[in-house]
Amino acid sequence: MYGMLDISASGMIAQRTRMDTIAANIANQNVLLDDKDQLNPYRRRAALFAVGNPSATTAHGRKFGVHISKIDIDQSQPQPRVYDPTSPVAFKTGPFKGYVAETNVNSVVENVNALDAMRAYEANVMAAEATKQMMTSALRLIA
Amino acid sequence: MADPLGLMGGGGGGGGAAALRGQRGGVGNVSGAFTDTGQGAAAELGAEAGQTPSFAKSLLNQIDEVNKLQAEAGQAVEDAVTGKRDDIENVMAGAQKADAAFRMLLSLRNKVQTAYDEIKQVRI
Repeated sequence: MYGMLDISASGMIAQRTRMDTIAANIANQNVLLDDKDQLNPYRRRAALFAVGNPSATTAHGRKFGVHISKIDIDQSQPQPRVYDPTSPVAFKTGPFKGYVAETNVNSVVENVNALDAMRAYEANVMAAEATKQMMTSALRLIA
Repeated sequence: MADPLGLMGGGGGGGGAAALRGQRGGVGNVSGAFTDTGQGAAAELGAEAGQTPSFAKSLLNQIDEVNKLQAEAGQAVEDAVTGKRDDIENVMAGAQKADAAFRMLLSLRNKVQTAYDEIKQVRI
């Protein structure tokens, strides 16, 4: 019935989840150790959107909404820039032996993505407002 | 907004229109003119009860629906404030739905009130 609002709500939730991953990437951009204190540089996360929102309460929302299908981990290995075999976080083996490990988070990319997520969220708010206004103007017919 | 009260298309619309037709049929029977349908108001109202809900019935259903939406929205806001859920967007959407549904019902009620006031002015 009022499923149109569910569409915008699902879009907002998707963008908020995307913003969560971006915030996590920014927060972990210098993290080189995993939770067992082993050298394992952080790999950036990316939220993948998919059409439809199975958790919506209305058929409209289920069909036209959006949901996060999964949060992908970008496994690309960045080219190390600092050579320092004495560093505790330098690679001991492998092709980058002696280089200081780095995460593959690019803070410029993350900040641009954050801006995009924010604008997309605002766009969803705008769409919800427009929907609300349409509902209200329909009432003018009867009042 | 598709049709919050289900009055424009489908069952509700049929009910409302049938009720109006029933009324006209009733007037026709009393005056002896306009007996185009050949059906009395009571017969038509009785017949429609089996197929489509009457206007009064659909109105009552809508009041229930609006009440449910309001209760859900209130519960959602409470859960959001107490930290039981964090999807603030769905809470807001629910509150907006409840608000729109309530205002639709209020408009209908005002319209019915206006109609009643107008009927009240008729001198007999």
